[in-house]
Amino acid sequence: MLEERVKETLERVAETGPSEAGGYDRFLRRRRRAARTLTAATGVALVVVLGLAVAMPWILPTRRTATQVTAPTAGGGAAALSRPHQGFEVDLPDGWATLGADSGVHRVDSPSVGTISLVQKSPRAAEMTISTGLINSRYNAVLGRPYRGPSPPTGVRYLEPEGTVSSGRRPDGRPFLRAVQRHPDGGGVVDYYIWWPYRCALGPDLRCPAVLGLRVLHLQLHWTKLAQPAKVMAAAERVVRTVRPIGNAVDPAPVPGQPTCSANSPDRLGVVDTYRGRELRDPRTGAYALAKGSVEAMLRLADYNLVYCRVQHKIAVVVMDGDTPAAVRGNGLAAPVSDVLLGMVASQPLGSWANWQWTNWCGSRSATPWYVDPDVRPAKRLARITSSPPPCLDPRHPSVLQGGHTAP
Amino acid sequence: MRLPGVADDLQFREFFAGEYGRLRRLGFLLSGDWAQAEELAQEALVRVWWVWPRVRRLRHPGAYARRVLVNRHRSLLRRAVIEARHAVRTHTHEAYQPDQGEDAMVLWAAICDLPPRQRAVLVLRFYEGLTEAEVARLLRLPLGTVKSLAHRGLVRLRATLDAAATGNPRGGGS
Repeated sequence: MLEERVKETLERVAETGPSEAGGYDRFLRRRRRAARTLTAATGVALVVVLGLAVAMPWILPTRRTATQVTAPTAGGGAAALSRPHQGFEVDLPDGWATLGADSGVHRVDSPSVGTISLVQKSPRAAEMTISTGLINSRYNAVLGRPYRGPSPPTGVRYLEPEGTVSSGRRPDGRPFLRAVQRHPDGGGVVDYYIWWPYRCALGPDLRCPAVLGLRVLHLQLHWTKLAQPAKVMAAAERVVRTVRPIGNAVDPAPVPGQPTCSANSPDRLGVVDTYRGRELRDPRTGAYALAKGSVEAMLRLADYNLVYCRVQHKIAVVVMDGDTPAAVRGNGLAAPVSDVLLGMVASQPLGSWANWQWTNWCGSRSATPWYVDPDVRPAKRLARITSSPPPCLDPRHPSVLQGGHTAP
Repeated sequence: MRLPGVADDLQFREFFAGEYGRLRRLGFLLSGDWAQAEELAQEALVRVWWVWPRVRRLRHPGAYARRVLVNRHRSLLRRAVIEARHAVRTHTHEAYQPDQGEDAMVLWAAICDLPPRQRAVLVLRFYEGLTEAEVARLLRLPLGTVKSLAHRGLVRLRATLDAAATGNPRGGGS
Protein backbone atom coordinates (compact mmCIF):
# COMPACT_ATOMS: atom_id res chain seq x y z
CA MET A 1 0.00 0.00 0.00
CA LEU A 2 1.39 3.33 -1.02
CA GLU A 3 0.63 5.02 2.31
CA GLU A 4 2.69 2.40 4.14
CA ARG A 5 5.54 2.79 1.69
CA VAL A 6 5.48 6.56 2.08
CA LYS A 7 5.57 6.20 5.84
CA GLU A 8 8.39 3.70 5.70
CA THR A 9 10.40 5.80 3.28
CA LEU A 10 9.99 8.93 5.39
CA GLU A 11 11.09 7.08 8.49
CA ARG A 12 14.12 5.63 6.78
CA VAL A 13 15.15 8.86 5.14
CA ALA A 14 14.82 10.71 8.44
CA GLU A 15 17.37 8.33 9.94
CA THR A 16 20.08 9.31 7.50
CA GLY A 17 20.90 12.63 9.06
CA PRO A 18 24.21 13.82 10.38
CA SER A 19 25.05 13.48 14.03
CA GLU A 20 23.11 15.52 16.55
CA ALA A 21 26.26 16.13 18.57
CA GLY A 22 26.73 19.71 19.64
CA GLY A 23 23.09 20.57 19.11
CA TYR A 24 22.62 21.91 22.60
CA ASP A 25 25.72 24.06 22.35
CA ARG A 26 24.46 25.55 19.13
CA PHE A 27 21.14 26.12 20.80
CA LEU A 28 22.78 27.93 23.71
CA ARG A 29 24.72 30.19 21.39
CA ARG A 30 21.59 30.95 19.43
CA ARG A 31 19.66 31.63 22.60
CA ARG A 32 22.32 34.05 23.76
CA ARG A 33 22.18 35.90 20.45
CA ALA A 34 18.41 36.08 20.74
CA ALA A 35 18.74 37.39 24.29
CA ARG A 36 21.12 40.10 23.14
CA THR A 37 18.72 41.11 20.40
CA LEU A 38 15.95 41.23 22.94
CA THR A 39 18.11 43.30 25.27
CA ALA A 40 18.90 45.72 22.47
CA ALA A 41 15.23 45.94 21.52
CA THR A 42 14.33 46.50 25.15
CA GLY A 43 16.94 49.25 25.32
CA VAL A 44 15.46 50.98 22.29
CA ALA A 45 12.00 50.66 23.79
CA LEU A 46 13.30 52.07 27.05
CA VAL A 47 14.81 55.07 25.24
CA VAL A 48 11.51 55.67 23.49
CA VAL A 49 9.60 55.43 26.74
CA LEU A 50 12.02 57.76 28.52
CA GLY A 51 11.81 60.18 25.63
CA LEU A 52 8.07 60.20 25.86
CA ALA A 53 8.27 60.65 29.59
CA VAL A 54 10.49 63.68 29.16
CA ALA A 55 8.39 65.15 26.39
CA MET A 56 5.10 64.55 28.13
CA PRO A 57 5.65 64.87 31.86
CA TRP A 58 1.92 64.87 32.47
CA ILE A 59 1.87 61.21 31.53
CA LEU A 60 4.07 60.39 34.50
CA PRO A 61 2.93 62.59 37.35
CA THR A 62 5.43 61.13 39.79
CA ARG A 63 8.99 60.07 39.25
CA ARG A 64 9.50 56.34 39.47
CA THR A 65 12.51 54.24 40.12
CA ALA A 66 13.38 51.43 37.80
CA THR A 67 11.41 48.31 38.47
CA GLN A 68 13.28 45.13 39.26
CA VAL A 69 12.97 42.00 37.27
CA THR A 70 13.52 39.59 40.11
CA ALA A 71 13.20 39.82 43.82
CA PRO A 72 15.67 38.05 46.03
CA THR A 73 14.73 36.01 49.00
CA ALA A 74 15.78 37.07 52.40
CA GLY A 75 19.29 35.99 53.06
CA GLY A 76 22.75 37.27 53.50
CA GLY A 77 25.68 37.08 55.79
CA ALA A 78 28.19 34.36 55.19
CA ALA A 79 25.74 31.48 54.95
CA ALA A 80 27.32 28.49 53.25
CA LEU A 81 25.48 27.02 50.32
CA SER A 82 26.51 23.55 49.34
CA ARG A 83 25.83 21.09 46.58
CA PRO A 84 27.41 17.85 47.82
CA HIS A 85 26.61 15.85 44.72
CA GLN A 86 28.24 18.49 42.59
CA GLY A 87 31.14 18.73 45.00
CA PHE A 88 31.15 22.39 45.95
CA GLU A 89 30.29 24.73 48.76
CA VAL A 90 30.23 28.50 48.57
CA ASP A 91 29.76 31.34 51.03
CA LEU A 92 27.08 33.81 50.14
CA PRO A 93 28.94 36.99 49.15
CA ASP A 94 28.12 40.23 50.95
CA GLY A 95 25.51 42.19 49.09
CA TRP A 96 24.14 39.14 47.33
CA ALA A 97 21.12 36.96 48.01
CA THR A 98 20.01 33.56 46.85
CA LEU A 99 17.62 33.68 43.99
CA GLY A 100 15.00 31.57 45.66
CA ALA A 101 11.43 30.56 45.88
CA ASP A 102 10.05 34.07 46.25
CA SER A 103 11.19 34.97 42.81
CA GLY A 104 9.47 31.94 41.38
CA VAL A 105 12.68 30.86 39.71
CA HIS A 106 13.63 27.77 41.66
CA ARG A 107 14.15 26.55 45.17
CA VAL A 108 17.78 26.92 45.94
CA ASP A 109 17.59 24.45 48.79
CA SER A 110 16.25 21.65 46.65
CA PRO A 111 18.81 18.86 46.68
CA SER A 112 17.78 17.81 43.21
CA VAL A 113 18.86 21.12 41.77
CA GLY A 114 22.59 21.21 41.32
CA THR A 115 22.85 24.89 40.58
CA ILE A 116 23.16 27.82 42.94
CA SER A 117 21.85 31.14 41.70
CA LEU A 118 22.60 34.43 43.36
CA VAL A 119 21.39 37.93 42.69
CA GLN A 120 22.97 41.24 43.66
CA LYS A 121 20.79 42.94 46.24
CA SER A 122 21.18 46.54 45.19
CA PRO A 123 21.05 47.39 42.44
CA ARG A 124 19.48 44.13 41.39
CA ALA A 125 21.28 44.20 38.14
CA ALA A 126 23.56 41.18 38.27
CA GLU A 127 23.13 37.45 38.69
CA MET A 128 25.57 34.66 39.33
CA THR A 129 24.99 30.96 38.73
CA ILE A 130 27.31 28.24 39.94
CA SER A 131 27.07 24.70 38.64
CA THR A 132 29.22 21.87 37.37
CA GLY A 133 29.62 20.77 33.78
CA LEU A 134 32.03 19.12 31.39
CA ILE A 135 34.34 21.38 29.45
CA ASN A 136 35.41 20.64 25.90
CA SER A 137 38.53 18.49 26.19
CA ARG A 138 40.73 20.89 24.25
CA TYR A 139 40.42 23.42 27.06
CA ASN A 140 41.79 20.96 29.58
CA ALA A 141 45.18 21.48 28.00
CA VAL A 142 44.73 25.23 28.44
CA LEU A 143 43.96 24.53 32.06
CA GLY A 144 47.28 22.74 32.25
CA ARG A 145 45.61 19.34 32.60
CA PRO A 146 45.67 17.73 29.14
CA TYR A 147 42.93 15.19 28.62
CA ARG A 148 44.41 11.72 28.07
CA GLY A 149 41.34 9.50 27.98
CA PRO A 150 39.51 7.98 25.03
CA SER A 151 37.38 10.22 22.83
CA PRO A 152 34.78 11.88 25.04
CA PRO A 153 31.27 10.62 24.35
CA THR A 154 29.36 12.41 21.65
CA GLY A 155 26.05 14.06 22.28
CA VAL A 156 27.20 15.47 25.58
CA ARG A 157 26.90 19.17 26.11
CA TYR A 158 30.47 20.35 26.64
CA LEU A 159 31.07 23.84 27.91
CA GLU A 160 32.84 26.14 25.47
CA PRO A 161 34.32 29.42 26.68
CA GLU A 162 33.20 32.35 24.56
CA GLY A 163 34.62 35.84 24.42
CA THR A 164 38.03 37.02 25.58
CA VAL A 165 39.62 34.08 27.37
CA SER A 166 42.34 34.34 29.99
CA SER A 167 43.54 31.97 32.68
CA GLY A 168 44.28 32.13 36.38
CA ARG A 169 44.93 29.98 39.40
CA ARG A 170 43.15 29.76 42.72
CA PRO A 171 45.04 29.93 46.00
CA ASP A 172 44.73 26.14 46.28
CA GLY A 173 46.37 25.73 42.89
CA ARG A 174 43.30 24.81 40.87
CA PRO A 175 43.56 26.47 37.46
CA PHE A 176 40.66 28.29 35.91
CA LEU A 177 39.70 29.98 32.66
CA ARG A 178 37.92 33.29 32.50
CA ALA A 179 35.88 34.30 29.43
CA VAL A 180 34.59 37.85 29.24
CA GLN A 181 31.93 39.15 26.89
CA ARG A 182 30.92 42.79 27.07
CA HIS A 183 27.75 43.89 25.37
CA PRO A 184 27.38 47.23 23.60
CA ASP A 185 24.55 48.21 25.92
CA GLY A 186 26.86 48.18 28.96
CA GLY A 187 25.93 44.72 30.19
CA GLY A 188 28.11 41.67 29.99
CA VAL A 189 28.83 38.08 30.88
CA VAL A 190 31.86 36.53 32.54
CA ASP A 191 32.25 32.77 32.69
CA TYR A 192 34.73 31.07 34.97
CA TYR A 193 35.64 27.43 34.44
CA ILE A 194 37.53 26.01 37.39
CA TRP A 195 39.18 22.60 37.08
CA TRP A 196 36.97 20.47 39.32
CA PRO A 197 37.47 16.81 38.38
CA TYR A 198 35.16 14.17 39.73
CA ARG A 199 36.93 11.78 42.06
CA CYS A 200 35.54 8.28 41.90
CA ALA A 201 35.55 5.96 44.86
CA LEU A 202 32.60 3.85 44.05
CA GLY A 203 34.06 0.41 44.56
CA PRO A 204 36.24 -1.96 42.59
CA ASP A 205 33.53 -2.85 40.05
CA LEU A 206 33.02 0.69 38.88
CA ARG A 207 35.71 2.49 36.98
CA CYS A 208 35.73 6.21 36.88
CA PRO A 209 35.44 7.25 33.22
CA ALA A 210 38.20 9.53 32.04
CA VAL A 211 35.60 11.97 30.83
CA LEU A 212 34.90 12.95 34.43
CA GLY A 213 38.32 14.58 34.42
CA LEU A 214 36.67 17.20 32.22
CA ARG A 215 34.41 18.36 34.99
CA VAL A 216 34.69 22.03 35.80
CA LEU A 217 32.94 24.29 38.24
CA HIS A 218 31.20 26.82 36.07
CA LEU A 219 30.42 30.23 37.47
CA GLN A 220 28.56 32.55 35.18
CA LEU A 221 28.04 36.20 35.99
CA HIS A 222 25.53 38.31 34.05
CA TRP A 223 25.10 41.99 34.57
CA THR A 224 23.07 44.72 32.97
CA LYS A 225 24.05 48.31 32.34
CA LEU A 226 22.57 49.26 35.72
CA ALA A 227 25.32 47.35 37.49
CA GLN A 228 28.88 48.44 38.24
CA PRO A 229 30.89 45.89 36.26
CA ALA A 230 34.05 46.23 38.35
CA LYS A 231 32.12 45.63 41.55
CA VAL A 232 30.17 42.59 40.41
CA MET A 233 33.21 41.11 38.69
CA ALA A 234 35.18 41.49 41.91
CA ALA A 235 32.42 39.65 43.77
CA ALA A 236 32.52 36.84 41.23
CA GLU A 237 36.29 36.67 41.43
CA ARG A 238 36.05 36.35 45.22
CA VAL A 239 33.65 33.45 44.85
CA VAL A 240 35.96 31.79 42.34
CA ARG A 241 38.83 32.03 44.79
CA THR A 242 36.91 30.90 47.84
CA VAL A 243 34.45 28.27 46.64
CA ARG A 244 35.35 25.04 48.40
CA PRO A 245 35.63 21.57 46.89
CA ILE A 246 33.78 18.98 48.90
CA GLY A 247 32.69 15.37 48.51
CA ASN A 248 33.48 13.95 45.10
CA ALA A 249 35.67 16.93 44.21
CA VAL A 250 38.12 16.26 47.04
CA ASP A 251 41.19 14.08 46.77
CA PRO A 252 41.22 11.56 48.47
CA ALA A 253 37.55 11.19 47.91
CA PRO A 254 35.02 10.86 50.68
CA VAL A 255 32.31 10.52 48.03
CA PRO A 256 28.73 10.21 49.12
CA GLY A 257 28.32 6.77 47.57
CA GLN A 258 25.69 6.38 44.95
CA PRO A 259 22.84 8.74 45.54
CA THR A 260 19.53 7.99 43.99
CA CYS A 261 18.88 9.75 40.73
CA SER A 262 16.66 12.82 40.75
CA ALA A 263 14.93 11.92 43.99
CA ASN A 264 14.45 8.46 42.51
CA SER A 265 11.32 9.43 40.71
CA PRO A 266 10.89 7.47 37.49
CA ASP A 267 8.75 10.08 35.83
CA ARG A 268 11.69 12.44 36.16
CA LEU A 269 14.00 9.95 34.54
CA GLY A 270 12.23 8.48 31.59
CA VAL A 271 12.59 9.73 28.08
CA VAL A 272 9.96 7.98 26.06
CA ASP A 273 10.34 7.08 22.45
CA THR A 274 7.73 5.26 20.46
CA TYR A 275 8.11 3.57 17.13
CA ARG A 276 5.48 2.00 15.00
CA GLY A 277 5.71 0.06 11.79
CA ARG A 278 7.88 -2.65 10.44
CA GLU A 279 11.58 -3.16 10.29
CA LEU A 280 12.36 0.24 11.68
CA ARG A 281 15.91 0.52 12.81
CA ASP A 282 16.50 2.14 16.12
CA PRO A 283 18.06 5.47 15.19
CA ARG A 284 20.37 5.34 18.22
CA THR A 285 21.83 1.89 17.91
CA GLY A 286 20.99 1.18 14.28
CA ALA A 287 20.55 -2.42 15.31
CA TYR A 288 16.99 -3.03 16.29
CA ALA A 289 14.21 -4.28 14.07
CA LEU A 290 10.53 -4.24 14.80
CA ALA A 291 8.22 -7.09 14.04
CA LYS A 292 5.61 -6.29 11.45
CA GLY A 293 2.63 -4.43 12.77
CA SER A 294 3.98 -3.85 16.24
CA VAL A 295 4.21 -0.82 18.42
CA GLU A 296 7.44 -0.40 20.27
CA ALA A 297 7.84 1.70 23.36
CA MET A 298 11.30 2.48 24.63
CA LEU A 299 11.98 4.01 27.98
CA ARG A 300 15.40 5.57 28.09
CA LEU A 301 16.78 6.59 31.42
CA ALA A 302 18.50 9.87 31.89
CA ASP A 303 19.70 11.98 34.71
CA TYR A 304 21.07 15.46 34.72
CA ASN A 305 22.85 15.83 38.00
CA LEU A 306 26.31 15.04 36.69
CA VAL A 307 26.99 12.51 39.40
CA TYR A 308 26.97 8.80 39.59
CA CYS A 309 23.63 7.76 40.88
CA ARG A 310 21.65 4.59 41.20
CA VAL A 311 18.20 4.05 39.85
CA GLN A 312 16.17 1.09 41.01
CA HIS A 313 12.67 0.81 39.77
CA LYS A 314 10.08 -1.26 38.14
CA ILE A 315 8.28 0.30 35.24
CA ALA A 316 5.29 -1.38 33.65
CA VAL A 317 3.30 -0.83 30.51
CA VAL A 318 -0.45 -1.10 30.75
CA VAL A 319 -2.76 -0.81 27.77
CA MET A 320 -5.91 0.96 28.87
CA ASP A 321 -9.22 0.77 27.07
CA GLY A 322 -11.05 3.68 28.56
CA ASP A 323 -10.65 3.41 32.30
CA THR A 324 -10.02 -0.31 32.40
CA PRO A 325 -7.03 -2.40 31.38
CA ALA A 326 -7.49 -3.74 27.86
CA ALA A 327 -7.68 -7.44 27.03
CA VAL A 328 -4.05 -7.82 26.06
CA ARG A 329 -1.98 -10.84 26.96
CA GLY A 330 0.88 -9.70 29.13
CA ASN A 331 -0.84 -6.43 29.93
CA GLY A 332 0.93 -4.74 32.83
CA LEU A 333 4.26 -6.34 32.02
CA ALA A 334 6.86 -4.78 34.26
CA ALA A 335 10.54 -4.29 33.59
CA PRO A 336 13.06 -4.06 36.38
CA VAL A 337 15.08 -0.97 35.75
CA SER A 338 18.17 -1.00 37.83
CA ASP A 339 21.38 0.59 36.84
CA VAL A 340 24.04 2.99 37.80
CA LEU A 341 23.78 6.05 35.65
CA LEU A 342 26.32 8.62 35.00
CA GLY A 343 24.15 11.68 34.88
CA MET A 344 25.09 14.11 32.20
CA VAL A 345 23.94 17.50 31.17
CA ALA A 346 23.37 15.99 27.82
CA SER A 347 21.08 14.22 25.50
CA GLN A 348 22.93 10.95 25.58
CA PRO A 349 23.68 9.95 29.11
CA LEU A 350 25.35 6.65 29.75
CA GLY A 351 22.21 4.88 30.73
CA SER A 352 20.00 1.99 29.98
CA TRP A 353 16.63 1.45 28.45
CA ALA A 354 13.71 -0.89 28.54
CA ASN A 355 11.38 -1.74 25.73
CA TRP A 356 8.03 -3.35 25.08
CA GLN A 357 6.25 -4.47 21.94
CA TRP A 358 2.52 -4.57 21.47
CA THR A 359 1.01 -6.40 18.52
CA ASN A 360 -2.29 -7.47 16.98
CA TRP A 361 -4.91 -5.21 18.47
CA CYS A 362 -8.40 -5.75 17.05
CA GLY A 363 -10.33 -3.73 19.65
CA SER A 364 -11.12 -0.07 20.04
CA ARG A 365 -8.74 2.30 18.31
CA SER A 366 -8.84 4.53 21.34
CA ALA A 367 -6.95 2.00 23.48
CA THR A 368 -3.86 3.67 24.87
CA PRO A 369 -0.67 2.27 26.41
CA TRP A 370 0.73 3.95 29.51
CA TYR A 371 3.89 3.69 31.52
CA VAL A 372 2.95 3.08 35.12
CA ASP A 373 4.79 2.77 38.37
CA PRO A 374 3.69 -0.66 39.63
CA ASP A 375 5.21 -0.10 43.04
CA VAL A 376 2.62 2.50 43.87
CA ARG A 377 -0.88 1.37 44.84
CA PRO A 378 -3.05 2.15 43.01
CA ALA A 379 -0.65 2.08 40.10
CA LYS A 380 0.44 5.55 39.15
CA ARG A 381 0.33 6.50 35.49
CA LEU A 382 3.60 8.14 34.56
CA ALA A 383 3.38 8.90 30.89
CA ARG A 384 1.12 8.16 27.99
CA ILE A 385 2.85 6.32 25.20
CA THR A 386 1.91 8.35 22.22
CA SER A 387 1.04 5.92 19.53
CA SER A 388 -2.09 4.64 17.93
CA PRO A 389 -2.69 0.93 18.59
CA PRO A 390 -1.01 -1.64 16.38
CA PRO A 391 -3.00 -3.01 13.45
CA CYS A 392 -5.25 -6.05 13.73
CA LEU A 393 -3.28 -8.91 12.20
CA ASP A 394 -5.52 -11.80 13.14
CA PRO A 395 -8.69 -11.42 15.25
CA ARG A 396 -8.53 -15.13 16.17
CA HIS A 397 -5.34 -14.56 18.08
CA PRO A 398 -4.96 -12.48 21.21
CA SER A 399 -3.36 -9.12 21.35
CA VAL A 400 0.05 -9.48 22.97
CA LEU A 401 2.36 -7.24 24.95
CA GLN A 402 5.91 -8.57 25.02
CA GLY A 403 9.29 -7.49 26.16
CA GLY A 404 9.72 -5.62 29.35
CA HIS A 405 13.39 -6.39 29.31
CA THR A 406 16.16 -3.93 29.84
CA ALA A 407 19.37 -3.49 28.01
CA PRO A 408 22.48 -1.53 28.86
CA MET B 1 5.69 37.12 31.25
CA ARG B 2 8.11 35.31 33.55
CA LEU B 3 11.43 34.53 31.93
CA PRO B 4 12.76 30.99 32.29
CA GLY B 5 14.97 30.38 35.31
CA VAL B 6 17.54 27.81 36.29
CA ALA B 7 15.07 25.10 37.25
CA ASP B 8 13.36 25.70 33.92
CA ASP B 9 16.75 25.31 32.31
CA LEU B 10 17.18 21.83 33.73
CA GLN B 11 13.71 20.83 32.65
CA PHE B 12 14.24 22.37 29.27
CA ARG B 13 17.45 20.41 28.79
CA GLU B 14 15.47 17.28 29.27
CA PHE B 15 12.85 18.51 26.84
CA PHE B 16 15.55 19.46 24.37
CA ALA B 17 17.12 16.02 24.61
CA GLY B 18 13.80 14.40 23.82
CA GLU B 19 12.64 16.70 21.05
CA TYR B 20 15.66 18.00 19.23
CA GLY B 21 16.25 14.96 17.04
CA ARG B 22 12.58 14.58 16.31
CA LEU B 23 12.20 18.21 15.27
CA ARG B 24 15.31 18.02 13.16
CA ARG B 25 14.00 15.00 11.32
CA LEU B 26 10.66 16.70 10.76
CA GLY B 27 12.46 19.80 9.50
CA PHE B 28 14.42 17.66 7.09
CA LEU B 29 11.37 15.92 5.74
CA LEU B 30 9.69 19.27 5.19
CA SER B 31 12.67 21.05 3.70
CA GLY B 32 14.81 18.27 2.24
CA ASP B 33 17.94 19.85 3.62
CA TRP B 34 19.66 18.93 6.87
CA ALA B 35 21.18 22.39 7.27
CA GLN B 36 17.78 24.00 6.95
CA ALA B 37 16.33 21.33 9.21
CA GLU B 38 18.88 22.25 11.86
CA GLU B 39 17.95 25.92 11.50
CA LEU B 40 14.26 25.14 11.79
CA ALA B 41 14.70 22.93 14.83
CA GLN B 42 16.99 25.39 16.60
CA GLU B 43 14.73 28.33 15.84
CA ALA B 44 11.70 26.42 17.08
CA LEU B 45 13.44 25.44 20.31
CA VAL B 46 14.65 28.98 20.99
CA ARG B 47 11.10 30.22 20.55
CA VAL B 48 9.84 27.51 22.84
CA TRP B 49 12.48 28.47 25.40
CA TRP B 50 11.19 32.03 25.63
CA VAL B 51 7.76 30.81 26.62
CA TRP B 52 8.94 27.68 28.42
CA PRO B 53 7.34 28.50 31.79
CA ARG B 54 4.00 28.45 30.00
CA VAL B 55 4.70 25.67 27.51
CA ARG B 56 6.01 23.19 30.06
CA ARG B 57 2.58 23.10 31.64
CA LEU B 58 1.01 21.96 28.40
CA ARG B 59 0.06 18.34 28.07
CA HIS B 60 2.29 17.93 25.03
CA PRO B 61 5.03 20.56 24.92
CA GLY B 62 6.54 18.68 21.99
CA ALA B 63 3.43 19.30 19.93
CA TYR B 64 3.80 23.00 20.60
CA ALA B 65 7.39 22.91 19.36
CA ARG B 66 6.30 21.02 16.27
CA ARG B 67 3.68 23.65 15.58
CA VAL B 68 6.30 26.40 15.87
CA LEU B 69 8.57 24.53 13.47
CA VAL B 70 5.85 23.93 10.92
CA ASN B 71 4.71 27.56 11.10
CA ARG B 72 8.26 28.74 10.71
CA HIS B 73 8.70 26.54 7.69
CA ARG B 74 5.48 27.86 6.20
CA SER B 75 6.47 31.46 6.69
CA LEU B 76 9.83 30.79 5.06
CA LEU B 77 8.05 29.29 2.14
CA ARG B 78 5.70 32.21 1.96
CA ARG B 79 8.55 34.67 1.99
CA ALA B 80 10.51 33.07 -0.76
CA VAL B 81 8.52 30.41 -2.50
CA ILE B 82 10.71 30.25 -5.54
CA GLU B 83 13.97 30.15 -3.61
CA ALA B 84 12.63 27.61 -1.19
CA ARG B 85 11.49 25.34 -3.96
CA HIS B 86 14.81 25.71 -5.66
CA ALA B 87 16.63 24.93 -2.45
CA VAL B 88 14.54 21.85 -1.90
CA ARG B 89 15.40 20.53 -5.32
CA THR B 90 19.03 21.42 -5.03
CA HIS B 91 19.70 19.80 -1.71
CA THR B 92 17.48 16.81 -1.60
CA HIS B 93 19.37 14.27 -3.60
CA GLU B 94 22.76 15.02 -2.18
CA ALA B 95 21.45 14.93 1.37
CA TYR B 96 19.95 11.47 1.17
CA GLN B 97 22.35 8.58 1.17
CA PRO B 98 20.63 5.98 -0.94
CA ASP B 99 21.44 2.95 1.15
CA GLN B 100 17.84 1.96 1.63
CA GLY B 101 17.17 0.52 -1.78
CA GLU B 102 16.36 2.01 -5.13
CA ASP B 103 12.63 1.86 -4.55
CA ALA B 104 12.82 4.05 -1.47
CA MET B 105 15.16 6.40 -3.26
CA VAL B 106 12.71 6.86 -6.12
CA LEU B 107 9.86 7.44 -3.70
CA TRP B 108 11.85 9.97 -1.67
CA ALA B 109 12.84 11.84 -4.82
CA ALA B 110 9.17 11.92 -5.80
CA ILE B 111 8.19 13.24 -2.38
CA CYS B 112 10.78 15.99 -2.74
CA ASP B 113 9.28 16.99 -6.05
CA LEU B 114 5.84 17.47 -4.56
CA PRO B 115 4.60 21.03 -4.05
CA PRO B 116 5.40 22.14 -0.50
CA ARG B 117 1.86 21.94 0.83
CA GLN B 118 1.25 18.45 -0.52
CA ARG B 119 4.56 17.35 0.90
CA ALA B 120 3.87 18.91 4.29
CA VAL B 121 0.50 17.17 4.49
CA LEU B 122 2.02 13.79 3.64
CA VAL B 123 4.87 14.22 6.10
CA LEU B 124 2.55 15.22 8.90
CA ARG B 125 0.07 12.46 8.08
CA PHE B 126 2.43 9.58 7.56
CA TYR B 127 5.59 10.47 9.45
CA GLU B 128 4.13 12.34 12.40
CA GLY B 129 1.04 10.14 12.40
CA LEU B 130 -1.40 13.04 12.71
CA THR B 131 -5.02 12.73 11.69
CA GLU B 132 -6.30 14.83 8.80
CA ALA B 133 -8.13 17.05 11.28
CA GLU B 134 -4.92 17.59 13.26
CA VAL B 135 -3.01 18.40 10.10
CA ALA B 136 -5.71 20.87 9.12
CA ARG B 137 -5.45 22.60 12.47
CA LEU B 138 -1.68 22.65 12.35
CA LEU B 139 -1.48 24.05 8.83
CA ARG B 140 -4.53 26.25 9.35
CA LEU B 141 -6.19 24.82 6.29
CA PRO B 142 -9.76 23.63 5.81
CA LEU B 143 -10.15 19.90 6.35
CA GLY B 144 -11.30 19.47 2.76
CA THR B 145 -8.16 21.11 1.48
CA VAL B 146 -6.00 18.79 3.54
CA LYS B 147 -7.85 15.76 2.21
CA SER B 148 -7.48 17.04 -1.29
CA LEU B 149 -3.77 17.78 -0.88
CA ALA B 150 -3.13 14.34 0.56
CA HIS B 151 -5.07 12.68 -2.23
CA ARG B 152 -3.34 14.65 -4.94
CA GLY B 153 0.05 14.02 -3.38
CA LEU B 154 -0.51 10.28 -3.27
CA VAL B 155 -1.83 10.24 -6.84
CA ARG B 156 1.25 12.05 -7.96
CA LEU B 157 3.57 9.70 -6.07
CA ARG B 158 1.80 6.69 -7.52
CA ALA B 159 2.19 8.08 -11.01
CA THR B 160 5.90 8.67 -10.41
CA LEU B 161 6.43 5.15 -9.12
CA ASP B 162 4.49 3.66 -12.02
CA ALA B 163 6.56 5.69 -14.43
CA ALA B 164 9.76 4.56 -12.76
CA ALA B 165 8.64 0.94 -12.95
CA THR B 166 8.01 1.25 -16.67
CA GLY B 167 11.26 3.09 -17.25
CA ASN B 168 9.72 6.45 -18.11
CA PRO B 169 11.32 8.88 -15.68
CA ARG B 170 9.22 11.83 -16.79
CA GLY B 171 5.93 10.18 -16.20
CA GLY B 172 5.55 11.29 -12.64
CA GLY B 173 4.70 14.89 -13.08
CA SER B 174 1.14 16.02 -13.14
